[in-house]
Amino acid sequence: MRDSKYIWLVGLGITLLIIGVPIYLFTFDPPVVSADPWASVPDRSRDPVDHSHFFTGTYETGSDITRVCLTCHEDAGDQMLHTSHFRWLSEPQIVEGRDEPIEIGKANLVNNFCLSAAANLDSCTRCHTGYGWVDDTYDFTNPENVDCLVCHDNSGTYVRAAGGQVAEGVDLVLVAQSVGTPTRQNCGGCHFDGGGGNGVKHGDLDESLYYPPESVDVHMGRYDFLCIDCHQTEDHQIGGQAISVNTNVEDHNIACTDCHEPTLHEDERITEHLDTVACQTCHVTVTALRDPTKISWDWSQAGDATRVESVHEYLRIKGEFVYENDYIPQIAWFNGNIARYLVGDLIDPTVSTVLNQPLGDIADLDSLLYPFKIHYGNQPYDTVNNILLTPRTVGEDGYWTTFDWDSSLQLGAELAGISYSGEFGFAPTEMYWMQTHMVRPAENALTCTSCHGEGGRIDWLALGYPGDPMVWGGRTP
Amino acid sequence: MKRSHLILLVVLAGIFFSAAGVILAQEATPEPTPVVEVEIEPSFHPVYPLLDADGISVLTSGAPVSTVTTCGACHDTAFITTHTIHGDGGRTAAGALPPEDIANTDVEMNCFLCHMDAPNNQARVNALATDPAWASTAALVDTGIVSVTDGVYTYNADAFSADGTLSPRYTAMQDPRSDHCGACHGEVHMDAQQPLALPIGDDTAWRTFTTGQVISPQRITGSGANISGRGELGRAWDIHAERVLNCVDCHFSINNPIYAEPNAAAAPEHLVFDPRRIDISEYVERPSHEFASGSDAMRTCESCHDAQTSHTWLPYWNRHTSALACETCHVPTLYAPALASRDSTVVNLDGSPVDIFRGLEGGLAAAPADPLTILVTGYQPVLLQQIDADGSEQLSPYNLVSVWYWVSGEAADAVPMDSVRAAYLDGDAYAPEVVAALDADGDGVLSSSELVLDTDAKIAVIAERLITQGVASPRITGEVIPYAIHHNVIGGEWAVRECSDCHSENSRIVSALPLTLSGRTPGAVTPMLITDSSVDWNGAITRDDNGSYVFVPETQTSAATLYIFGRDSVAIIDTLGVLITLGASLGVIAHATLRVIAGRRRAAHAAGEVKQVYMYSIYERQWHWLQTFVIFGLTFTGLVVHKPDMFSLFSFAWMVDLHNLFAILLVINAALSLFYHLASGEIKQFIPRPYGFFDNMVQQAIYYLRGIFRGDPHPFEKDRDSKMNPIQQMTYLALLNVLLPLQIITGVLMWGAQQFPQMVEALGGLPFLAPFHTLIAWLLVTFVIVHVYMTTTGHTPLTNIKAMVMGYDDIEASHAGAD
Repeated sequence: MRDSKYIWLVGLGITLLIIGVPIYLFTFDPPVVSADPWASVPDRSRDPVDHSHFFTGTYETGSDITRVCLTCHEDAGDQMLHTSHFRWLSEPQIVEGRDEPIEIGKANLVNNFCLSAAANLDSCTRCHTGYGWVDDTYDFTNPENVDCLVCHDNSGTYVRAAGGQVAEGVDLVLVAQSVGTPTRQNCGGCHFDGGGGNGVKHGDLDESLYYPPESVDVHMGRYDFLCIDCHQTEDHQIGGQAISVNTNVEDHNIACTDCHEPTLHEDERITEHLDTVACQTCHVTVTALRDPTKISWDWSQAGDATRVESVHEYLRIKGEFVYENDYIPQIAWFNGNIARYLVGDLIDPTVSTVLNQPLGDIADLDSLLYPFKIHYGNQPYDTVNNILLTPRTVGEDGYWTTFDWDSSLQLGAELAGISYSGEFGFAPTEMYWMQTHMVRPAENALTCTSCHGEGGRIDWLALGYPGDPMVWGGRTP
Repeated sequence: MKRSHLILLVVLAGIFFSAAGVILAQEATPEPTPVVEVEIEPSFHPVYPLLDADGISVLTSGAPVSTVTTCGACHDTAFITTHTIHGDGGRTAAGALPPEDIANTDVEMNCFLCHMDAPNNQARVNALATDPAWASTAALVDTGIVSVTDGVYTYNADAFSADGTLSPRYTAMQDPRSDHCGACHGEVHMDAQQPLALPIGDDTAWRTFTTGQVISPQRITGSGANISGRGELGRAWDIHAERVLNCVDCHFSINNPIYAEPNAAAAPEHLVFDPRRIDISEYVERPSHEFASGSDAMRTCESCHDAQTSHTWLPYWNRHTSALACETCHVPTLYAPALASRDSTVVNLDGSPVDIFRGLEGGLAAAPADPLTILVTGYQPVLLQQIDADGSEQLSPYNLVSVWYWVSGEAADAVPMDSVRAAYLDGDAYAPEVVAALDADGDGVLSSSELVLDTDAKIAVIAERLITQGVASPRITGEVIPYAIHHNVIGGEWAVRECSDCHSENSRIVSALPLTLSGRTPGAVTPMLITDSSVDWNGAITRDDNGSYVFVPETQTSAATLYIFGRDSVAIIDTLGVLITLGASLGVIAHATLRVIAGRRRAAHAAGEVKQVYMYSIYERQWHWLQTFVIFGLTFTGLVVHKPDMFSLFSFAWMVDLHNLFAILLVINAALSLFYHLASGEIKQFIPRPYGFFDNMVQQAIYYLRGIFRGDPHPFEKDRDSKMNPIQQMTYLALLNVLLPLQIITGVLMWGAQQFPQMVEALGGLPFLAPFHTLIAWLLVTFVIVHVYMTTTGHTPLTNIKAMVMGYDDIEASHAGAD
């Protein structure tokens, strides 16, 4: 029988198989496919919609603009009414020691910077995403009260005045026509200057992040990230939770591992660390790199007209400060829960009251070691009731004008809805600020000797270890 | 007065004066000044008194502290001082170039220097020079125990308790830290925060000075040195320092029960671990101060690392690691300058010799006064055959330092530097005669370029002045001294891992190391490679075009017989191979041209009747074409491995793997084919019939030389049972019995350099096998060319190829039927 005309094709196939299969089996190393971190980053290559032809009229107030916005973005107003950026309160949450779920947030909490927003609404709401919140008559259900421009202005000319109103001289048409994706300027305007000035509060957020070099923030400096590239937003709910105004930050928070594989380290010893150590601990090594951050604030020294004023050391209206550059974070256990001091909680004035204690310890396997900035305060409290007080500082009747503690504490107590006996003193307090921004390039990350061996930055005994876990062993799950 | 009263009075007076004395004495003793309570780490070490050489408290005697008596109260200092390499008070630790005889004055071992938290080494060094008896005491200056003013040491009584012992805050003792070792041995910078500053030209940091090794956990990017490309060097200076290791973790006391390993060679074979150790208390009493180092109990890379598990990407692991030390790839570059040459035949104004460094901008240069004014480029160490304790040799990184110095007498002893200084200097200026002899430009000042003895006249002037110093027959000698590099190891991601770094023309294995600046050859004396028991010199000193001396390593010397694929080749074999291949190609082309011309002349070729014959079975065709593919694969991959620089597109390692794989396929295919031919009896076709074989061969040859052009029929019929003509039979006999087996054997042996190195060595090793393999490869390529051409000599040029594809051959019928 003659072979088929195409028998040679079969032969060729067999030959190639005999050669190809062993090559594939023995010499071909499949490239390691790791998840692409860019997959989670929003694509911003598309040009934003030009809004200039939507705003051609004349507008008197901010709400006039909001009405125009709402004609197209029908749901946006209602969405905003449910955000913490508008409400300054959380959804009701269970808080230890309280019978019912309660709402907490900037609106009703005490801190150890400017102390209380509730007592100073007219000034503090300059950073509120709505117009005109100055007292408790404010309508939180009216979508026209929402300020769209403060987050969406891309002209860089939008300025707000006291009470959250549009400042004099702002060209509302120009601003409205420019609207687009929130930029670093939109977020930074409030968040970089929290606490009353550049870098005061956070340590890892300050004005250097408008245009940071990569040595300060690798995401923004090297890869040109916007804040909202990580703080991704759905229905105007912006991702991310601060430990200063929440009792739990696990639900809506942002993690490095949203984009990065936890197993990306080549060295398995580093991978093992991830059972105990948060990414930030090694990658946010030093904060306040360009601008200093406030470390302590002693209100008890305020009011001395004889002292020389210096913005980073002493102000008569505010008291005494300490600022620090190149802040080396404190390392503490944290399981996502925070013991938050609520207005009216009793304090022990003889010890330092932690207003937002991150919870967790070595025995709690849900907790990891995180880096924090600790801000030390010395602030007014009621020596009879043993509660922290909420002075009114702004306004003509406030302490910054009158320098009368008693009257401003009385006013503030009424505004915040707490009792004031008339007797006050100053009590030490602490606030924790997680250091999670200012992620520097990998070559700046901590190395073994940063923590282990002599001269490491961690106090192992304070964390509950018998000694350096490199030699004493880590916690056993 | 009664006598009894007198006695009473005397007794009373005695009591009074005694009491008064006691009271006065108490008052005279100053109230102990309240010591500010400093929180101190609880010390495990008990308190102890500081004793002088006579065992008396120094508080009483005011004499120097004696460590032998002080520490000897508990520790066996006699044992320690006889079991140490540090017993000379650190006098020779810093080495000496040229090798000077240092008078071994009797200086005690200084326990404080290594075991106290912050000893004062500078005060100790100063004391050694001026008042050696106080050297141990000087190490305590500024610790709070003793102070010194104008050379007078005063003990601080407050540092002592009432019972004369040191108070607990001063008695903390510890294992030496790396910075303790660094105080004498080189730059050690353990502080992770404070940026490291490189000592350039500081010969008190001896290891750094001579090799550029720097011990620090800091990343080079974060250090404060002016280093070229620093921003990209996100690696630590030394990965072991970064991984929190201390010097003593590897250089441990050899009787430390934690580390001590009993002599494995003396242990019974079945015993993998011997738990019997000296007790910790015995160790504390008699700790050996001989530290594991160099050839003895030294902890090697392999003691801690199972490197094979992390080098799975590296083909020929055994071969690589038997030829190369780990440091060769893991210490590829030193980022601190290192001494290149030291000219001690001349002295600078400060009395120091003239030093030239490598690793600075421009290659070799003198150290500037301000280290930050020069860019540090780092340097690539030279690879020398290091002789290990077991006698094995591996390429390992070294720095080479050339030294020139004056010697005298028959024994050629080094002239002490003091004499050389005296010959040059008058106080703090050069002697006028010296200036007159060396000042080439006549400006009265000796510049650094003038400070060299490059003419006989200059040498004579200095020699004369040395003779007046009492130096007998002074003359200049030059040496090249190797300094081994084992520190500054880096992790895998920074190590050498590109095949082409070594497997190419510019292989770093034979990277030359410049030794001297051009023109800096004192006395025109070529420096000699010194005899060093740990180095087998695998290269030689040559002079480059600029007149500078250069050390050039070679791969095939008495010290090293390496054959580096991609770098080494035997020129004559490649030339021969190219000639044979080219010749065969030319012959084939000429023959083909003639055939075409002849074919045209025979206008009408009598096309005989053609008959189709089933010539090749399906298996024959299959194995043939598989072998074809495999041989082409082998040829190509072999060529890439042989000359990777010509084919830089292809990954060297992958080509090596493919070559091996093709070779395995070839051997299996050949074996199966052999089985087929044996089993089927087809093998007969390959065996020439002896009778008339040569006649037949000649007949066939004549056909190819003449008949083929005339269109003659083939002299021997080709059919299913006899496919081969006599010349084919002869060719295949040679090919299959000589060339192919030789190629397989040499190939297997080359692969065996990894698997059974001893046998391969016995058979000539790679330097013999590899060129042999190459030669046969050339011959096989020649065969392929001729073989392919010969297939065109069938009925039509493509008939035979088609037959090998489809199985059916066109045979001229007239011929086929002639039988």
